[in-house]
Amino acid sequence: MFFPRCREPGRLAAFATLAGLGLAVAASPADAAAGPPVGTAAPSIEATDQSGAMQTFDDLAGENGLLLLFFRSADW
Amino acid sequence: MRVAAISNDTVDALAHFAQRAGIGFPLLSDPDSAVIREFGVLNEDIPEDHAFFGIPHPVELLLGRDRVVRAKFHEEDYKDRFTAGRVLVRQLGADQGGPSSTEHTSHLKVTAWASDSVVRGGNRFVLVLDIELDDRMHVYAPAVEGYIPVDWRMEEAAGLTHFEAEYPDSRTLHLPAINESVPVYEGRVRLLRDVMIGQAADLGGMVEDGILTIRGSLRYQACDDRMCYLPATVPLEWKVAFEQHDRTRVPDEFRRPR
Repeated sequence: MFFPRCREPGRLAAFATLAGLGLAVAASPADAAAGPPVGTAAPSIEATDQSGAMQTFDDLAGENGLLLLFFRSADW
Repeated sequence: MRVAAISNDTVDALAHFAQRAGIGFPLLSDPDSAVIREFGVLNEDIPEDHAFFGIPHPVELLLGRDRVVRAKFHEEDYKDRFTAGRVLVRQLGADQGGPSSTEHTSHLKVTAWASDSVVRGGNRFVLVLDIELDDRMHVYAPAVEGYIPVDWRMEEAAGLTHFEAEYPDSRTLHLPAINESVPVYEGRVRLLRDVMIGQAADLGGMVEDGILTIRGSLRYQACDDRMCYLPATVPLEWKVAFEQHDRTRVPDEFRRPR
Protein backbone atom coordinates (compact mmCIF):
# COMPACT_ATOMS: atom_id res chain seq x y z
CA MET A 1 0.00 0.00 0.00
CA PHE A 2 1.14 3.54 -0.60
CA PHE A 3 -0.02 7.09 -0.65
CA PRO A 4 1.39 10.29 -2.16
CA ARG A 5 3.99 12.31 -0.31
CA CYS A 6 2.43 14.28 2.52
CA ARG A 7 3.66 16.49 5.28
CA GLU A 8 3.10 16.15 9.01
CA PRO A 9 4.23 19.43 10.65
CA GLY A 10 2.97 18.58 14.13
CA ARG A 11 5.75 16.07 14.69
CA LEU A 12 8.63 18.41 14.06
CA ALA A 13 9.10 19.85 17.54
CA ALA A 14 9.18 16.45 19.23
CA PHE A 15 11.82 15.05 16.94
CA ALA A 16 13.96 18.17 17.00
CA THR A 17 14.05 17.77 20.79
CA LEU A 18 14.96 14.10 20.44
CA ALA A 19 17.82 14.88 18.08
CA GLY A 20 19.08 17.58 20.42
CA LEU A 21 19.11 15.25 23.39
CA GLY A 22 20.99 12.67 21.37
CA LEU A 23 23.72 15.18 20.63
CA ALA A 24 23.92 16.22 24.27
CA VAL A 25 24.43 12.63 25.40
CA ALA A 26 27.06 11.98 22.75
CA ALA A 27 28.99 15.10 23.75
CA SER A 28 29.19 14.44 27.48
CA PRO A 29 31.81 11.75 28.15
CA ALA A 30 33.25 11.69 31.64
CA ASP A 31 36.49 13.26 30.46
CA ALA A 32 36.74 15.48 33.51
CA ALA A 33 36.95 12.41 35.72
CA ALA A 34 40.01 10.72 37.19
CA GLY A 35 42.86 9.54 35.00
CA PRO A 36 44.86 11.01 32.13
CA PRO A 37 42.77 13.00 29.64
CA VAL A 38 41.99 11.65 26.20
CA GLY A 39 44.73 12.63 23.77
CA THR A 40 47.55 12.67 26.34
CA ALA A 41 50.20 10.04 26.95
CA ALA A 42 49.53 7.71 29.88
CA PRO A 43 52.31 7.07 32.42
CA SER A 44 54.52 4.03 31.99
CA ILE A 45 53.52 0.80 33.71
CA GLU A 46 55.62 -1.65 35.65
CA ALA A 47 53.78 -4.23 37.73
CA THR A 48 53.74 -7.94 38.54
CA ASP A 49 51.02 -10.10 37.03
CA GLN A 50 49.18 -13.04 38.60
CA SER A 51 51.91 -15.47 37.56
CA GLY A 52 54.62 -13.39 39.23
CA ALA A 53 56.06 -12.02 35.97
CA MET A 54 57.01 -8.36 35.69
CA GLN A 55 55.03 -6.59 32.95
CA THR A 56 55.58 -3.25 31.26
CA PHE A 57 53.36 -1.38 28.81
CA ASP A 58 55.41 -2.70 25.89
CA ASP A 59 54.87 -6.26 27.12
CA LEU A 60 51.14 -5.73 27.62
CA ALA A 61 50.14 -3.78 24.50
CA GLY A 62 49.25 -5.47 21.25
CA GLU A 63 49.51 -4.08 17.74
CA ASN A 64 46.45 -1.91 18.34
CA GLY A 65 47.24 -0.98 21.92
CA LEU A 66 45.82 -1.93 25.28
CA LEU A 67 42.53 -1.71 27.14
CA LEU A 68 43.61 -1.12 30.76
CA LEU A 69 41.00 -1.59 33.48
CA PHE A 70 41.45 -0.26 36.99
CA PHE A 71 39.26 -2.37 39.27
CA ARG A 72 38.37 -2.24 42.91
CA SER A 73 39.65 -5.58 44.13
CA ALA A 74 39.63 -9.33 43.61
CA ASP A 75 39.48 -9.56 47.41
CA TRP A 76 36.41 -7.64 48.38
CA MET B 1 44.07 -4.93 21.05
CA ARG B 2 44.96 -6.60 24.33
CA VAL B 3 43.40 -6.33 27.76
CA ALA B 4 44.94 -6.00 31.23
CA ALA B 5 43.43 -5.15 34.59
CA ILE B 6 45.11 -3.65 37.62
CA SER B 7 44.24 -3.39 41.30
CA ASN B 8 46.11 -3.01 44.58
CA ASP B 9 45.59 -6.70 45.42
CA THR B 10 48.51 -9.00 46.13
CA VAL B 11 49.81 -11.38 43.47
CA ASP B 12 48.43 -14.30 45.52
CA ALA B 13 44.93 -12.83 45.61
CA LEU B 14 45.01 -12.14 41.87
CA ALA B 15 46.39 -15.60 41.08
CA HIS B 16 43.56 -17.24 43.02
CA PHE B 17 40.93 -15.04 41.39
CA ALA B 18 42.32 -15.61 37.88
CA GLN B 19 42.34 -19.37 38.35
CA ARG B 20 38.83 -19.49 39.80
CA ALA B 21 37.33 -17.18 37.16
CA GLY B 22 39.33 -18.62 34.24
CA ILE B 23 40.94 -15.26 33.41
CA GLY B 24 43.67 -15.53 30.81
CA PHE B 25 44.68 -11.87 30.43
CA PRO B 26 47.16 -10.18 32.79
CA LEU B 27 45.92 -9.08 36.21
CA LEU B 28 48.48 -6.64 37.54
CA SER B 29 49.30 -6.30 41.23
CA ASP B 30 49.93 -2.78 42.49
CA PRO B 31 50.01 -3.38 46.26
CA ASP B 32 51.35 0.06 47.20
CA SER B 33 49.11 1.75 44.58
CA ALA B 34 52.13 3.29 42.84
CA VAL B 35 50.75 2.82 39.31
CA ILE B 36 47.27 3.79 40.51
CA ARG B 37 48.64 7.09 41.89
CA GLU B 38 50.80 7.68 38.82
CA PHE B 39 47.67 7.43 36.64
CA GLY B 40 45.76 9.78 38.96
CA VAL B 41 42.99 7.29 39.66
CA LEU B 42 43.51 6.72 43.42
CA ASN B 43 40.20 6.83 45.26
CA GLU B 44 40.94 9.57 47.78
CA ASP B 45 37.49 9.43 49.35
CA ILE B 46 38.68 6.51 51.45
CA PRO B 47 40.53 7.42 54.68
CA GLU B 48 44.18 6.39 54.80
CA ASP B 49 43.60 4.22 57.86
CA HIS B 50 40.81 2.23 56.15
CA ALA B 51 41.49 -1.29 54.84
CA PHE B 52 40.29 -0.28 51.39
CA PHE B 53 42.61 2.72 51.10
CA GLY B 54 44.63 2.37 47.93
CA ILE B 55 41.86 1.15 45.62
CA PRO B 56 41.45 2.94 42.29
CA HIS B 57 38.42 4.63 40.85
CA PRO B 58 36.73 2.30 38.36
CA VAL B 59 38.31 3.63 35.17
CA GLU B 60 38.98 1.95 31.86
CA LEU B 61 41.50 3.42 29.43
CA LEU B 62 41.87 2.57 25.78
CA LEU B 63 45.56 3.20 25.05
CA GLY B 64 47.13 3.26 21.62
CA ARG B 65 50.40 1.51 20.86
CA ASP B 66 52.01 4.92 21.50
CA ARG B 67 50.45 4.94 25.02
CA VAL B 68 48.22 7.88 24.13
CA VAL B 69 44.74 7.70 25.68
CA ARG B 70 42.25 7.07 22.86
CA ALA B 71 39.18 6.78 25.09
CA LYS B 72 38.32 6.80 28.76
CA PHE B 73 35.41 5.28 30.62
CA HIS B 74 34.67 6.26 34.17
CA GLU B 75 31.82 5.15 36.36
CA GLU B 76 30.65 7.10 39.38
CA ASP B 77 29.54 4.00 41.25
CA TYR B 78 31.68 0.87 41.33
CA LYS B 79 28.52 -1.23 40.95
CA ASP B 80 27.81 0.31 37.54
CA ARG B 81 30.05 -0.80 34.74
CA PHE B 82 30.42 -0.17 31.05
CA THR B 83 30.77 -3.58 29.45
CA ALA B 84 33.65 -4.76 27.31
CA GLY B 85 31.20 -5.23 24.44
CA ARG B 86 30.24 -1.56 24.63
CA VAL B 87 33.90 -0.59 24.19
CA LEU B 88 34.25 -2.95 21.23
CA VAL B 89 31.15 -1.62 19.47
CA ARG B 90 31.71 2.07 20.12
CA GLN B 91 35.47 2.40 19.89
CA LEU B 92 36.38 -0.42 17.53
CA GLY B 93 33.22 -0.74 15.43
CA ALA B 94 32.63 -4.38 16.32
CA ASP B 95 29.96 -6.06 14.19
CA GLN B 96 28.79 -8.67 16.64
CA GLY B 97 28.08 -9.21 20.29
CA GLY B 98 25.03 -10.97 21.64
CA PRO B 99 22.49 -12.95 19.59
CA SER B 100 20.63 -11.04 16.89
CA SER B 101 17.06 -11.05 15.64
CA THR B 102 16.04 -9.85 12.19
CA GLU B 103 12.74 -8.48 10.91
CA HIS B 104 11.93 -8.03 7.24
CA THR B 105 9.36 -5.58 5.89
CA SER B 106 8.43 -4.56 2.35
CA HIS B 107 10.98 -1.75 2.52
CA LEU B 108 13.87 -2.80 4.71
CA LYS B 109 15.55 -5.35 6.92
CA VAL B 110 16.34 -4.49 10.54
CA THR B 111 18.66 -6.56 12.72
CA ALA B 112 18.67 -5.96 16.48
CA TRP B 113 21.59 -7.11 18.63
CA ALA B 114 23.27 -6.13 21.87
CA SER B 115 26.96 -5.42 22.39
CA ASP B 116 27.28 -8.26 24.92
CA SER B 117 26.11 -11.86 25.03
CA VAL B 118 26.14 -11.91 28.86
CA VAL B 119 25.29 -9.04 31.21
CA ARG B 120 25.13 -8.59 34.98
CA GLY B 121 23.42 -6.14 37.28
CA GLY B 122 24.70 -2.58 36.89
CA ASN B 123 26.01 -3.17 33.38
CA ARG B 124 25.73 -0.38 30.83
CA PHE B 125 25.84 -1.78 27.33
CA VAL B 126 24.73 -0.88 23.82
CA LEU B 127 21.72 -1.91 21.80
CA VAL B 128 22.39 -1.87 18.08
CA LEU B 129 19.98 -1.60 15.16
CA ASP B 130 21.43 -2.40 11.77
CA ILE B 131 18.98 -1.25 9.11
CA GLU B 132 19.34 -2.27 5.49
CA LEU B 133 17.02 -0.45 3.12
CA ASP B 134 15.87 -2.04 -0.12
CA ASP B 135 17.16 -0.62 -3.40
CA ARG B 136 15.99 2.92 -4.18
CA MET B 137 14.20 3.14 -0.82
CA HIS B 138 14.83 5.83 1.77
CA VAL B 139 13.54 6.74 5.22
CA TYR B 140 13.68 10.13 6.91
CA ALA B 141 16.27 11.22 9.47
CA PRO B 142 15.10 12.73 12.79
CA ALA B 143 15.87 16.29 11.66
CA VAL B 144 13.35 16.13 8.81
CA GLU B 145 10.63 18.75 8.64
CA GLY B 146 7.17 17.67 7.66
CA TYR B 147 7.78 13.97 7.06
CA ILE B 148 7.69 11.05 9.49
CA PRO B 149 11.24 10.31 10.64
CA VAL B 150 12.64 7.02 11.90
CA ASP B 151 11.69 6.72 15.54
CA TRP B 152 13.26 4.07 17.77
CA ARG B 153 11.12 3.63 20.86
CA MET B 154 11.78 1.52 23.93
CA GLU B 155 9.30 -0.40 26.03
CA GLU B 156 9.49 0.88 29.60
CA ALA B 157 10.53 -1.75 32.14
CA ALA B 158 11.42 -1.66 35.82
CA GLY B 159 15.18 -1.88 36.30
CA LEU B 160 15.97 -0.70 32.76
CA THR B 161 17.39 2.75 32.04
CA HIS B 162 17.51 3.59 28.38
CA PHE B 163 19.44 6.54 27.06
CA GLU B 164 18.69 8.53 23.91
CA ALA B 165 18.94 6.78 20.57
CA GLU B 166 21.90 7.95 18.51
CA TYR B 167 21.20 8.47 14.83
CA PRO B 168 24.03 8.81 12.30
CA ASP B 169 24.51 11.73 9.95
CA SER B 170 22.00 11.71 7.13
CA ARG B 171 22.27 12.53 3.45
CA THR B 172 20.31 15.33 1.82
CA LEU B 173 18.02 14.13 -0.92
CA HIS B 174 16.68 16.63 -3.44
CA LEU B 175 13.22 15.94 -4.80
CA PRO B 176 12.96 17.87 -8.09
CA ALA B 177 9.29 17.04 -8.63
CA ILE B 178 8.27 19.04 -5.55
CA ASN B 179 11.50 21.07 -5.23
CA GLU B 180 12.32 19.90 -1.69
CA SER B 181 15.53 18.83 0.00
CA VAL B 182 15.13 16.40 2.88
CA PRO B 183 17.51 14.52 5.22
CA VAL B 184 17.28 10.79 4.55
CA TYR B 185 18.91 7.45 5.18
CA GLU B 186 19.57 5.01 2.36
CA GLY B 187 21.46 1.73 2.12
CA ARG B 188 22.86 0.57 5.45
CA VAL B 189 22.34 2.56 8.65
CA ARG B 190 23.44 1.76 12.22
CA LEU B 191 21.62 3.21 15.23
CA LEU B 192 22.99 2.88 18.75
CA ARG B 193 21.44 3.29 22.17
CA ASP B 194 22.99 2.80 25.61
CA VAL B 195 20.99 0.92 28.21
CA MET B 196 21.81 0.23 31.83
CA ILE B 197 20.21 -2.48 33.89
CA GLY B 198 19.68 -2.46 37.64
CA GLN B 199 20.76 -5.11 40.08
CA ALA B 200 19.06 -8.51 39.85
CA ALA B 201 16.42 -7.70 42.45
CA ASP B 202 15.24 -4.68 40.42
CA LEU B 203 14.70 -6.48 37.14
CA GLY B 204 11.41 -8.23 37.94
CA GLY B 205 9.86 -9.89 34.92
CA MET B 206 12.64 -8.93 32.53
CA VAL B 207 14.66 -12.05 33.34
CA GLU B 208 13.21 -15.49 32.66
CA ASP B 209 15.24 -18.70 32.71
CA GLY B 210 18.42 -16.66 32.80
CA ILE B 211 17.54 -14.59 29.72
CA LEU B 212 17.04 -10.82 29.88
CA THR B 213 14.56 -9.62 27.28
CA ILE B 214 14.41 -5.97 26.21
CA ARG B 215 11.71 -4.77 23.83
CA GLY B 216 11.15 -1.75 21.65
CA SER B 217 9.95 -0.73 18.21
CA LEU B 218 11.05 1.12 15.13
CA ARG B 219 8.61 3.38 13.34
CA TYR B 220 9.41 4.76 9.93
CA GLN B 221 7.97 5.90 6.67
CA ALA B 222 9.69 4.59 3.58
CA CYS B 223 9.59 6.32 0.22
CA ASP B 224 11.21 5.78 -3.14
CA ASP B 225 11.65 8.27 -5.95
CA ARG B 226 7.99 7.98 -6.96
CA MET B 227 5.88 7.44 -3.89
CA CYS B 228 5.69 7.11 -0.12
CA TYR B 229 4.38 4.00 1.54
CA LEU B 230 2.26 3.69 4.65
CA PRO B 231 4.16 4.29 7.89
CA ALA B 232 5.18 1.02 9.49
CA THR B 233 6.18 -0.10 12.97
CA VAL B 234 8.58 -3.01 13.44
CA PRO B 235 8.69 -4.79 16.82
CA LEU B 236 12.20 -5.13 18.22
CA GLU B 237 13.57 -7.59 20.74
CA TRP B 238 16.98 -8.11 22.31
CA LYS B 239 17.74 -11.25 24.32
CA VAL B 240 20.88 -11.39 26.45
CA ALA B 241 21.99 -13.98 29.00
CA PHE B 242 21.81 -12.60 32.53
CA GLU B 243 24.23 -13.85 35.18
CA GLN B 244 24.61 -13.11 38.85
CA HIS B 245 27.75 -11.40 40.09
CA ASP B 246 30.58 -13.60 41.31
CA ARG B 247 30.53 -12.94 45.06
CA THR B 248 33.05 -15.57 46.10
CA ARG B 249 35.89 -14.12 48.18
CA VAL B 250 39.50 -15.21 48.04
CA PRO B 251 40.54 -17.63 50.82
CA ASP B 252 41.22 -16.16 54.26
CA GLU B 253 44.98 -16.25 53.91
CA PHE B 254 44.89 -13.94 50.88
CA ARG B 255 42.48 -11.40 52.32
CA ARG B 256 43.69 -7.99 53.31
CA PRO B 257 43.31 -7.23 57.05
CA ARG B 258 40.25 -5.18 57.97
